[in-house]
Amino acid sequence: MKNKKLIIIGTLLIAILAMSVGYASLATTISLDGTTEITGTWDIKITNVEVVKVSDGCTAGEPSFTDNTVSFAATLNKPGDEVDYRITIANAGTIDAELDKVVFDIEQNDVKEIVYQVTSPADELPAGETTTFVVNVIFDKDITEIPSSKTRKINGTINYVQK
Amino acid sequence: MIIFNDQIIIVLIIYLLCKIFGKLETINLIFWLGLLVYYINYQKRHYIRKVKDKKYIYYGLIIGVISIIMAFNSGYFIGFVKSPFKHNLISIVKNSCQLLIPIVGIELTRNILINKYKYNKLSRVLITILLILLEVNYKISFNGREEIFKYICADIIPLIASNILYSYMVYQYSISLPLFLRLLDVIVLIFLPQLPCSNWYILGCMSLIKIIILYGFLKCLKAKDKRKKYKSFAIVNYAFVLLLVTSLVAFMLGLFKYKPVVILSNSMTPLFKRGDIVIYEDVDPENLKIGNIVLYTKNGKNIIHRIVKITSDGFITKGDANNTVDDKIKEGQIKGRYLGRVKYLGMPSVWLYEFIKGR
Repeated sequence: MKNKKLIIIGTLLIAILAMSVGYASLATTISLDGTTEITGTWDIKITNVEVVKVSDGCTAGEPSFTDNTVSFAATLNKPGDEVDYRITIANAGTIDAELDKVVFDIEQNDVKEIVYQVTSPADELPAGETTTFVVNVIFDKDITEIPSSKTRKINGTINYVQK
Repeated sequence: MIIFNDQIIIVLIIYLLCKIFGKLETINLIFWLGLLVYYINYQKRHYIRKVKDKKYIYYGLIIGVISIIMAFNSGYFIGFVKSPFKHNLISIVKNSCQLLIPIVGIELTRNILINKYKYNKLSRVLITILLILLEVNYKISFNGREEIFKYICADIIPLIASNILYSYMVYQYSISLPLFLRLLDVIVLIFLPQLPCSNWYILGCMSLIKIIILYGFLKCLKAKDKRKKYKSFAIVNYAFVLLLVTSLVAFMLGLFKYKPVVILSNSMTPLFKRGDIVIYEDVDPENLKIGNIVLYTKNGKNIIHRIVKITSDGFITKGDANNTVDDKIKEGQIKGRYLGRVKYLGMPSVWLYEFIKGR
């Protein structure tokens, strides 16, 4: 009986130790999200960010992302240049969700020549489905003065809540 | 096996197959409601009597409250986030139906089947496996080994461990224990506007620590029921193990002043190497000097290098074994200052990292 108890407790402790080893190897940043352990699960996150369009001579920096934030830098050379990023979000849980807020901002946006536009999909994101946002970063066609710095870093947050 | 001739088992297996191979969300609720109606006629007298036993309801409420206290106290250390659930009346009713009815259905099923096959250990094991399979989310897709690892830690291991505990509770005590435990967890989840933050590691570890505590509590109850005194040194040992494990989890999460990080490269050789664990502490960037070794983040990755130059707008760092300096970093990127290292302790993490990343 005592051995049985030791085996049970020992197994649970070994599982916690194994998770700690895994966490130590994967913990680059702690991303916090709301997940439940019951029959209904909440699991919505950004699964991919990719560059889908780049004007000639422009540079689209490698995007980085967490579960609900995205960050990328684009260098545009002349008016009319543009770069498009496609953000894929998956609802891997079992609860239907709807878009709560989409917030994007440009770092060091003291000059307004480079702007962005976000094309949002439908607000609803049913369980098990994926959706995509497209962020179009564009060098304003109508400006007459070219700024010295033509690289802009854009950060975004996309939040969903239960439908 | 005799259990495979059981009507309920057959229905559950068909439901499980539909869940794995088909889209079943819409009839999920109808299935469990139907099963509950069936159980109203099926429940034998002694099961109902056991459910109504005040002692077990009392125990069920106690372990439910322990579970909630544990879950929510973690929020004071890690922080809280807005609940993803809506809180208007319609949403609360909808969520209650969607989340509570399947739980009641599963626990009543467990109660009937475990009590029916009470004297056959293999049957009880198979019933528990079937109930675990019924709760797995089969729609999930993975993008690489890292996601699979996190899913196993956060969902599968706690699911298996908790179901074994629930079956044990039903076998030894009463359905009231797992039923109240699970219902209270979900009710709190539905109603509270703020929930504790969590990631896969917190979810997995908290679930297992909760199971260890509940298992200990049940052992105390059993001793009390048999009018034996639970040995005080056993409780002390138990509390010590729990304290140790909880401290380990808090340490890994960086909740203490001193925090660990596993070294994955040799850029700071010979001071520390790949596979060592480095301990660092929080630091005010104004107190940093040339020669200090700092941990900072860049593009979501942790880097630990030595400061070689301090400028008006940031720091320039370099790995001791590198030929060139790194890009300039700003104060906000610095997470801590190096204190010391433990040789080779991080090797299992390195091996796991290589496996998960497929290297």
